[in-house]
Amino acid sequence: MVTQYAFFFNAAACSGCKACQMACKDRNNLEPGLLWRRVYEVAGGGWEKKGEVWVPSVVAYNISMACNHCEKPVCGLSCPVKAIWKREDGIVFVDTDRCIGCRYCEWACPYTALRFNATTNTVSKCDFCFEAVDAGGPPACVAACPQRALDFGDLAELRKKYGETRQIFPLPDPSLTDPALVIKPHRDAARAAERAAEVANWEEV
Amino acid sequence: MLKEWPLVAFTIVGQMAVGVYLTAFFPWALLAVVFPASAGPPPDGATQGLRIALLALVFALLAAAALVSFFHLHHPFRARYVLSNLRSSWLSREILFELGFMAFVALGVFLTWRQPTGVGLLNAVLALAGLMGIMFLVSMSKLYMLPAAPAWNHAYTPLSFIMTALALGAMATALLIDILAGGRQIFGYLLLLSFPLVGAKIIFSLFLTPGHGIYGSRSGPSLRPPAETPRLLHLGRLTLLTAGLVLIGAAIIARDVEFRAATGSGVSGLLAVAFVLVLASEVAGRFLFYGLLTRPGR
Repeated sequence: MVTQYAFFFNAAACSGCKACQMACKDRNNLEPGLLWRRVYEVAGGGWEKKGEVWVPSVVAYNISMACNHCEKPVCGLSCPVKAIWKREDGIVFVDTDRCIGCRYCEWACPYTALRFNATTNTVSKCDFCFEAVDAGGPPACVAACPQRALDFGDLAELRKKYGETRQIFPLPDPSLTDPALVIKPHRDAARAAERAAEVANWEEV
Repeated sequence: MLKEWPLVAFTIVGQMAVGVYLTAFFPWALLAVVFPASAGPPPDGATQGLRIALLALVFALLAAAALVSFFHLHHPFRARYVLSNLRSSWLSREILFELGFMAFVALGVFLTWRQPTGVGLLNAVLALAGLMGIMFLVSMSKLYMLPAAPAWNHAYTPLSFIMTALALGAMATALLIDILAGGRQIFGYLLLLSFPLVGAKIIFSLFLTPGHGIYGSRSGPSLRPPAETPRLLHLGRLTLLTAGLVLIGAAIIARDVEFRAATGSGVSGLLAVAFVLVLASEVAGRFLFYGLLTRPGR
């Protein structure tokens, strides 16, 4: 039995096509401007002098990020009306019939997973496509990825399969929330901070 | 940034209510509870009326803050659930302490009006109200000190809230006392207290304002968009505070001259303008504060 569902993201394989983002929007019928899964384009660097030669030294990779269904969901802990709750299998849900729309959880989540839905006037977030998962299928984002850069499953199983990494630049310190996330880093991620990399597509995410 | 106006109004008005209470009542009530011998005789009619007016002002400010806070909720009728998560949510705790503060202040008004034979019960109620007010201020600070928000998770947040409460509280109390019962000695004390409080606010803002102050905390890498706070707001806030400080200084000098020459010199007018300037600086500072944590999406 699954005790904590989790996502795996292979940054080395992601081409930034945003098929995951669009599949999520399509399946959940999200209005324009509302994204439960976002693809962040991380870019930085410039020219570097090696000996007598100037060579380009840039970093560029993508991060596909949705709710990480954290083991310590600070969104739920901060919610004053207990509208955010965690199922036995670890999936974190928003009860839109109880949410007062104060949007405090948006500040509390370091992954900015909680997004305001102007249609329901409540916050909203990835629900792990629980109906599909309960029926034995994959979440829409995982199914849509042409590179197989996304996977899902029990956190312990994913860690056995892919390792323990759960943070790359510029993701927050994972000890804040214990995200149910496993990442295979892109080769540029280790030197992104020293190359002053930044998210290049804020307007989009 | 501008869409956070209900929170700007709620925090400033709520903090001012705590500040009025802390400068006008709390130290004396606590002293009377801890050292009953220090409690003076029952107040005369004029003092009793002034006390009721000040308590009523605190209650009115808290009620106004509570009312305006509904404007930031998208489902205000569900607010009845807001005390559901006292175990882990500082937002639930903040509302609990605000309601507790309001209840004890209302009881204080009633007891002051009825004038029970002993003042022990009244002082106990006033001391408890003060403790509730302090907890209201503490919970208001704690709820913004989120580990996910490095710009707010800093000593500046509680320091700034306390300074706002005390500076606006001392000035508002002095003004009300002067309007309702001019010539009271406590007006002079509050005027003198306002000067270092506003001065300290300028120094804190100059050095510690997150994102803008000389040593203010900076946001590190994160998945949150960059802050959208214009630097002009920070400069405007410092200018308003400095102008307010100059006017408070002028009011202190004018009051001294007034005493010596026994002529009216418009101290209240100077203080009223200073109050408006400091209040405006607080509004600018609070917009600056909320602008640091941009909400992605809509």
